[in-house]
Amino acid sequence: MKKKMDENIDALFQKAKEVPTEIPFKQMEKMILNFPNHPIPVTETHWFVKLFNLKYIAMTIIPIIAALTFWWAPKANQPEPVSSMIENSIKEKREISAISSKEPIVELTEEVVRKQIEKPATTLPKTPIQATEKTNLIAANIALPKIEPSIPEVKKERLELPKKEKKIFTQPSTLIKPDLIKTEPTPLSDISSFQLKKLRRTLYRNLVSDGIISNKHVLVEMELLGDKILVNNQPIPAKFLIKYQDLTSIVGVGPVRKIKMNTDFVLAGDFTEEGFKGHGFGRFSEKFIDLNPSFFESISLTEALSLKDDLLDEESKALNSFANDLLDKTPEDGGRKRLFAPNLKGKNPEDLHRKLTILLEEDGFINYSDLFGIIQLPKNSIRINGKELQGEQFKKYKKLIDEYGIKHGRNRMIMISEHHLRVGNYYYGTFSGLGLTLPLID
Amino acid sequence: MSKTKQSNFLKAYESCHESLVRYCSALAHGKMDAEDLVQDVLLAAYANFDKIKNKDQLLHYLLRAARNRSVSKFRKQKYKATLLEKHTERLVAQEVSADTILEIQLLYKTLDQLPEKQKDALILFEINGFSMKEIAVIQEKSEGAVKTNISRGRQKLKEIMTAKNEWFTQVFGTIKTITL
Repeated sequence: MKKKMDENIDALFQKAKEVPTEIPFKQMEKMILNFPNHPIPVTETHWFVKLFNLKYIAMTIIPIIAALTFWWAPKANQPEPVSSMIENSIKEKREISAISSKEPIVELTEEVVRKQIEKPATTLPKTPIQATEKTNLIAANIALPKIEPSIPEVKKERLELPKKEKKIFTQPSTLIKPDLIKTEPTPLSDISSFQLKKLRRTLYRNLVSDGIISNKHVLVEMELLGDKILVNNQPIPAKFLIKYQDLTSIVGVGPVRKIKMNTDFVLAGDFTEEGFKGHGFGRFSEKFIDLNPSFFESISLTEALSLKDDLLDEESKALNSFANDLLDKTPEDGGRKRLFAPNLKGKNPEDLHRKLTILLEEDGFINYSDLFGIIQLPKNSIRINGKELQGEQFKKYKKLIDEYGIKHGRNRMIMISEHHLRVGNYYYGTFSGLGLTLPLID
Repeated sequence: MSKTKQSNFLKAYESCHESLVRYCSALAHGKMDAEDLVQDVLLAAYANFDKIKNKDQLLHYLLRAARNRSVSKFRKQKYKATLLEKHTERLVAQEVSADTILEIQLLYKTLDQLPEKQKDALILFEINGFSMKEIAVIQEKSEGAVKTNISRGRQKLKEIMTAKNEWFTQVFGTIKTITL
């Protein structure tokens, strides 16, 4: 088949090679002979036209004009020097006197006029006027009132100038925009896991670089009070306030609005006595909660992990001891232990609890007397309550486990009881993973 | 002087004609008029003929110019069905059989589906009959690169033709019937 195709292709190429050319040589010969005898004229453009083409104008002249405009614009706004204004006004008066000579004439020296003009602007520096000749001015037309208003204006501008300069140069660099300071509590908006992750990363990076915390492993509690932000009970320096308000804008502000984070998790929301209301992302371990009870005291998570509820606590402990009996007695591997958190592919763990309970009941692994199910997931096998699954039964559980993205591992297991579901790594009381506790129904 | 230039150009071009026209026909197929492309290339070559130091290299110059122009022209023009008609008419005028015309057109169309480098190398090697060394000079590439392009191009051509074999034979048969 391949050979035949090769032959076909060769045959096609051969035909294309042998076929007479589309355009005969004679046709091209005619064309060439009709080419102009003289070299094809190339229009010689004048150097001036070459130089000042549209591209040149766009690239050179426009930026120059823009630069010049920018350069001269502030100067145009500057007030005219007082001395020149005085000179101008005197000149004006001279012209007026030259036109109307019938009116009674009052002889005024230039000095008198200048004094009159300068009267309201005594604070201005006096510039000597060179002219000494006497000028005839018409009394009625000495437009002092017309000149006077311009002088206070000039004075005003002159007086305001230092203020303006002050505003620009002496303004503190940490000026806070008033609109950004929100002291009223803002409703908590939806924050995605991705945003939380980004928030944690950005905050740690900035807090460390600004010297507010020493390193990124420090447990951070940020209180977002609006007009101030406290980091581990210490207010953020004023110069950084606006920056951190921007960074935490997604969380909002409020008297109980906080961000609590460490390298493993981030919680953002309202921490009240009733519990925590907000968004969280990351991994928790029982050990961490035990070590930091104050940190979690206002979080209902402690309740969810049945640390306070006796009944649920009892159930949890019983589940642990049931699992301990099933564990291999081989010691755990050495090395650094990392927190493990299964990724349930965004599915609801409650559904997993329900589905597993149904399956385990169907297969008789759990019933009224046997309340606990320990599904161990060593490599390539599944063990439920110590029994190795085979055939169809294995496939059935494997399908469900794969559906939730739970992978096999040395200490990986699913621990299930009536009110508890744990998916993760368990080794003699040390659990790292996802824990779900369903509420007790009276 | 001018007459000498014309005759010199014609003399140099004579040996290049066949290769250039075949190359242009394959490049321009379905995209532009091959005659326009040849004329364009010739006019440019004639204008710059004095600048071409080595007249033996005229063919290389023409082929390179054709390739560059085909790319720039193709960007400006849309596919025109009338171009195929023109191509057919010209070949019919050269007393080429309808069978051969259709086969060549199908070959050109399939070649058009290949990446530019592979297509170019295949045309020069298979249709124009250049050696790999010569193609390397024309394309300003290494001989190895040319060899790879030819080999891959041929392989891909085979794949396309195999995949469309049934369709190919069916359509080919139908078109043949209609044309005849």
